[in-house]
Amino acid sequence: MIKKISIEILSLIVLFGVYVCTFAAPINIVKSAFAKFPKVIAKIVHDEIVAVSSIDRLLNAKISVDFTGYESATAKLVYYLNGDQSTKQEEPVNEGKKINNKQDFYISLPQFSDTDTSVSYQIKIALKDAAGNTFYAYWPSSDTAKFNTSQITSIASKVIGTDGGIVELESGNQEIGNSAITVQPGTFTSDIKVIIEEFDPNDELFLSAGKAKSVQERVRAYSIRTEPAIDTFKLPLSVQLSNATQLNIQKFELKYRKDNSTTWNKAEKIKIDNIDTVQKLLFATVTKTGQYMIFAASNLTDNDYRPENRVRVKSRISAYGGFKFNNLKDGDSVKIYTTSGKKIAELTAGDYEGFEWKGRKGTNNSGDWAESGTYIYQIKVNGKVISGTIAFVW
Amino acid sequence: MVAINQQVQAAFVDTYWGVRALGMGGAYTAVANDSNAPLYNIAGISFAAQKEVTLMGSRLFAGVEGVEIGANYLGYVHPISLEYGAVSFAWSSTSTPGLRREDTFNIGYARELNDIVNLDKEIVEISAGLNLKYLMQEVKFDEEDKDLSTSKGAMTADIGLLAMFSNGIGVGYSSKYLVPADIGYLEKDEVNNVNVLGLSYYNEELPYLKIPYFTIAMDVIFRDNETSIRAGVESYVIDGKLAIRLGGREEAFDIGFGYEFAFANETKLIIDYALELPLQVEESYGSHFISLSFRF
Repeated sequence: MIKKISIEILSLIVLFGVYVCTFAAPINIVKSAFAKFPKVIAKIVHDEIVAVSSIDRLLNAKISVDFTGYESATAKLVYYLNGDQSTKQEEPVNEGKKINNKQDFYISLPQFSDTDTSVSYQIKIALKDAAGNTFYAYWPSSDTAKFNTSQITSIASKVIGTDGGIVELESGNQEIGNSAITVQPGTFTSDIKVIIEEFDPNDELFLSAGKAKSVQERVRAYSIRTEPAIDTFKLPLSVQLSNATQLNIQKFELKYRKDNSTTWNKAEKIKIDNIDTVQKLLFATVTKTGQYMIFAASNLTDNDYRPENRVRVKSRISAYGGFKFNNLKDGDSVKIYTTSGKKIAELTAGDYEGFEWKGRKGTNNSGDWAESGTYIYQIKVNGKVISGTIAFVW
Repeated sequence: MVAINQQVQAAFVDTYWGVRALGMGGAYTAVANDSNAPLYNIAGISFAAQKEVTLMGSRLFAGVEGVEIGANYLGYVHPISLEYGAVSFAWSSTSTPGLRREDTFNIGYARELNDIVNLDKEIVEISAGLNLKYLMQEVKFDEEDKDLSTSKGAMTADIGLLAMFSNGIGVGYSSKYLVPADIGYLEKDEVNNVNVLGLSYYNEELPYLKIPYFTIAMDVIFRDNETSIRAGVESYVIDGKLAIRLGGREEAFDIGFGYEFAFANETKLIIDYALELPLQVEESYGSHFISLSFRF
């Protein structure tokens, strides 16, 4: 009889243990104002911030709380800087959307100073039940003394072998994406340390940055290097650069120069594959170690839309490209006319760089080759028509 | 195979020369009878009554900022005699400063055929002509194509036939660029053969409408597997001194004027003007053409 009761008690304890492990992880609850043991479990979801950009020096993060069993949940952020707990402060947290028993919160700390090297933070959730009792849950641990420490840095590195891999440089801002380098399998024949470092574009290292034609602002600056040093990669690296986009900037340019170069004026222009305006990421494919600078081109002039090359030879288009009409996007158009005024081609789509006429008739280079001749182009952008002449010969 | 070759041929689309012809929309193959004939139908030079020299200048697509294209023409026709026919010399050019230009040099000969084919001139006057042409294109290449020579030239020829019936109907045929002319820099680029069939009707006073010295003309052009049509009308008022012209084609509408000043010894000075309004190119208030011709 006693044995049977013991088994039943043991089963209950095991079931309770399974329940706690299933619903409590990765979280915890901890303290009740009046009860010795927690009555219910709240779930806190938050992706740990490992590093905060030392360029932007901003910590922005998102938290989601499932407060089933309670009436409401509010959040606060407790943090201290540089490992010094005497500087501990509590900051209110902004409420986001609430759906049923799930509440989002957004952390946004004041900008860190240039001398700060780390930030340690803890999320404190206050839960209220129907009776008005308040309970507290904590992240990263139910241990109220535990904090998550993020380094304020602008450098990340990883040793990557023959199988490839990703080096990620966190921004510390979860409203935007992180910078990252993806190394394809087969790029390296041995273990190589790949380093990505972000610089202040006005840093002394980049002060020699000349202004390219119509480019007015340097937005972000990065260095990509390896240990041991490699100049050119066997396979191209996919690069995403964080916080590349800003409001009211119509166009970006990515330029490359060698580490020992002193000017950006003759820097190599790198094709931008895409821009994610939500995650504020710039995507490109690079093949060399060195310095990369994102420039913002604003107040575009008519010449910024015109093709840089006015003559193209048919058999060299595959090597040199066609007539590139820059800075155009969906909704813009380019029409090509003969000198007798007859329309022979139209461009309505392209990539991030703009539209390209490859010497073919029809819409978006879909037709036969155009004849040798002088052609008139008319670009329609922002309700304006920009015209010029080009020559296409065989 | 033939179809493929026809689709991939080249430039030298002769649209922009001869102000009288332009005023009529370029429909001139069955009208050509002056110093503009070398461009439209070489057979027409044998219908020129006097020696004539003409010089044309133009401004294309005025108002379109960033587009600077000029078309110029110098033509001379010299009737020798019925027996020996007529000769002509002409130069035509289309150029965009700092980019590309096309030049064509013409030497032509035409003669009436009535005595050869034994046709009564009271019914029809018929002539045939041959035009030898040297085509040249010159391109200012970008840095990466600096290895290419800037100019390319080639010889070719046109032939023409023109029949003017006594009832006012004219029928013309011109086959241009008959000899393959390769103007390619890196690959074969032969100028398209162009075949033009022209029809015209002339009456000193159009019945019912009473329009004096009236001409209506149409050209059907076959080029690069494409067919296009040009049409125009012309009338001379004020005792035949002032010409008024209208014409057009798919991509443009034309209006033109001409005035003839007569001097002693049957010499004449003719000023012609044509305005072409493009229908597809935007923001242009027209292409302007002016010519000065002297008959002696």
